[in-house]
Amino acid sequence: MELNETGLVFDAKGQTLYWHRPLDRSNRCLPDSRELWDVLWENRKQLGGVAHTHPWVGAALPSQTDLSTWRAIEKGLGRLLLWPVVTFSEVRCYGWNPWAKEYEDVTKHVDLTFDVGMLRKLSGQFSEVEKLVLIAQDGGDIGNALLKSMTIPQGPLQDGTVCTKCGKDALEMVQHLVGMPGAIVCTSCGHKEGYYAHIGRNIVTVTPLRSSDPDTE
Amino acid sequence: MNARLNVTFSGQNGDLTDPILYDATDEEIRQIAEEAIRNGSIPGIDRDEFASLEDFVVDRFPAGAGVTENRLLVRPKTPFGGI
Repeated sequence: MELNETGLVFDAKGQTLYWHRPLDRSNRCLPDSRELWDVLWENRKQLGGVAHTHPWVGAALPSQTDLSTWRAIEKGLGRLLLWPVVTFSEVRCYGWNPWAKEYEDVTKHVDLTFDVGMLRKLSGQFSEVEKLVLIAQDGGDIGNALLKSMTIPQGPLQDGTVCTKCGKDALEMVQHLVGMPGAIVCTSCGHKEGYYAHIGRNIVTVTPLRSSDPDTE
Repeated sequence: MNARLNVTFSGQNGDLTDPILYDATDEEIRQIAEEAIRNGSIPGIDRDEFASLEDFVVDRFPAGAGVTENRLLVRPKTPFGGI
């Protein structure tokens, strides 16, 4: 799944005003955008701030570009905003300290919430189960990209599950199509139980998902 | 070729009364706008003798269908990430 920096403009209560997902964004930057400026200007009276992702696991620290952009936008709007930085493992909020004349971490003083979960998802973070659901639903470019990072084993299913149609312990994992999730097929009656992909040492059926499947997280 | 210069600064917006050259460089345009804010010559923007347009960018809109004049817009940059 592609990782991309994503922006979220929110109001003073943390409610989403605008998702910033320009076509020319990358996993390392959100380019300058007149469209984003227009959104900020039009909503300037109700603005709370702008969050953006650094789509990796690690400390949520601003870049020099972030700092200079924050300052420029605040000079343009004539007011101060909240500037959250969101990684896949951390959220930190920054605000301008007019006495120190620098941005500082104000996370512990922030009492509003914004849509961190969706922001991370739009940046490319999905749980292993969500990835598998995407594979089953898509089967195209997204599915293929995700499958490249997964192992598709073959052979008898050895978790004790029996065929839901004939009841026999004859389920087998079969490579259905190259680049697609494997299928779980009964070698006795031919019934197809569903699709699966390998997650670490666990095996999960994707479609349909079964309650007896081992925990994937 | 002349253009109308529009500037956004400190929550205010206004046009410079006199046209400037459309082909001026971004740096020249920023300097003109900055000087105009410092001496209070942009209607709609309060005079600020210490105004700085560092990290502001210039958008260029040539005259075309429905638009009779060239326009230059000075506004804050908005990139994130990078170095």
